Amino acid sequence: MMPTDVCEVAIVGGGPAALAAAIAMSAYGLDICLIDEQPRLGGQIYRQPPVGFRVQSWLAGRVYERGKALLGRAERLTSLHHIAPATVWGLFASEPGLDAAGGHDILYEQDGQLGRVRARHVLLATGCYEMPVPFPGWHLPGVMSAGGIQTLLKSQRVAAGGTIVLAGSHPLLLIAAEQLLQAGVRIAAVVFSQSTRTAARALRAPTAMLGAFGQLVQAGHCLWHLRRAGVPVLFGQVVTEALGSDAIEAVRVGSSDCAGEVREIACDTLGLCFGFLASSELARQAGAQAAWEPGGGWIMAADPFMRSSVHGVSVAGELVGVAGAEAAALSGEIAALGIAVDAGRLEADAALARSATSRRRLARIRRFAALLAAMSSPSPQLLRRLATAEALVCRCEDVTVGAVADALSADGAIASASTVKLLTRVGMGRCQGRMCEVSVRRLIADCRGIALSQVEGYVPRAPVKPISLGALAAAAEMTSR
Amino acid sequence: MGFRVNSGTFRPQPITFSFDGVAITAHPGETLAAALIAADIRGFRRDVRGGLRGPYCNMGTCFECVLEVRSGSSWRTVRGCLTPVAAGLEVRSLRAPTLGRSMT
Repeated sequence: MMPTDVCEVAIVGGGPAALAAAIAMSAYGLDICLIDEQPRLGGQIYRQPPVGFRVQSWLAGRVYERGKALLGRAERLTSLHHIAPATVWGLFASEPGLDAAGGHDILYEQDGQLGRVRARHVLLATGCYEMPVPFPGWHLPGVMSAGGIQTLLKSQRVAAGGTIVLAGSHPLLLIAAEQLLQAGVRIAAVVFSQSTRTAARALRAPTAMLGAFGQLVQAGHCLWHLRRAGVPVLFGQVVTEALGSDAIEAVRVGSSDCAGEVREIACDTLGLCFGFLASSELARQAGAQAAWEPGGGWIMAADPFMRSSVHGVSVAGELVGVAGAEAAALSGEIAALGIAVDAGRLEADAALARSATSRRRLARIRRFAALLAAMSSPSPQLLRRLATAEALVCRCEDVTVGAVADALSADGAIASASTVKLLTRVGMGRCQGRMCEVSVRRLIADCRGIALSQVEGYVPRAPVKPISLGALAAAAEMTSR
Repeated sequence: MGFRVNSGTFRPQPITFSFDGVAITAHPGETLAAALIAADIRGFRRDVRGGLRGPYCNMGTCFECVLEVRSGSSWRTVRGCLTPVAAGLEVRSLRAPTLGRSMT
């Protein structure tokens, strides 16, 4: 039998939703196993430097204060059993009769060994990742997600390159650019696909709600700093191609509406951010219902206490709507109260009363997040233009947009990502389709003239992240003994 | 090229590991991805067409940064962005999967 931890609540993830949930649950005496892929708590937004490092002014700035306080409180919890770094690859209803705890089994791999956590209540807070946008050359070394460049800097204190271009449609680009600039990186350009008019609207229109959204204020400050430092911040422009052989050497930049000249900007690194997709594969693998939302991907259905459609499995953070760290923490806290109710530690009425303020704040942030998502999403026309035939759509299996288009035109009946997968190998690689599913579905939607939300994705199956046969064999050997 | 940001940063004493036989200096706690980027190595693996690939998401989602570390007599495939450096660790780039090569 593989090593099994039994606990009342298991949390998957270590970001703001998980931290707030753990803190809220500990007040009800629940014992918690928290399993996360990063060695230290914090998730991506509060990703900490390694143990043994000391970083002055780590996450400086008012916008991070609440998060750092949350992190501090969670790290002091004695009721928290932290299993990390460990990669969760499956979530299943426990086999009955093995022991009294019942509930669910969470299967993980840690340092080449398999392990299991058995819990009556499960909270999934697995976060999000940047929406992949295929264009020629985006597979070259040196092309990274803007968030990846940012975490490399804030946690590892390594600048990904000496001359960086940031491009896409999300305000995160400004924040990353400013942090890189302060670290001594040359920012060759920040390129936004939106026109100045759209961007100004994003920065101005919702002033009434700015108090609820420090991030955008932060982005505004960053824009000002960057401009003052002489960094070109371009609007209505897009990186149409990354150029280079063994690594990126330059980008080709043109107008978002195809008009005007195309020019080259030399750089050794390109950071991309076109918005985010919820990382909900594990929740969907467990059978929980989800629906496609344009600004956030496969978002989980949840009741007012963040319970998913699978009994005993709750969801929080970006899984219930991509709305940033503060919303994530609020949803984590609400989910925790729901679990306290289910565990018999709290009356439902009391839980409702206790979560009233958080619910109101969450609703307000979500309204704003919806506005932000609408303004920072690239248009379908732009995505179509970028995804030229030679661009890789599936980076793991090296399948081009052209190969998918050929498969679609060869058989007019193909209307699901899974069928394209069988024909072309898209989504069969190590990332399990995270990097290509949305693009493949978009190609199908465009080709068949239907809405993206109507195109089915790949079927999420365990293992949701690859595990080695060696680890499986070792676990099987232990079981048979 | 990538570099370590030194201002306001204290790191533990450096160690060395090897990447494709070349000695790389790194600090305990760093990931393989961070240490290799700081050493201006950005190609971690070869794709099917022979092209180089390197870290993309730096958080374990994209699997672009996979490489191999020696584990006893065999090699284990790991994500460079999640695997810490260690003194004396042998690391090698991942070649494209081809028939006849063991995928341990």
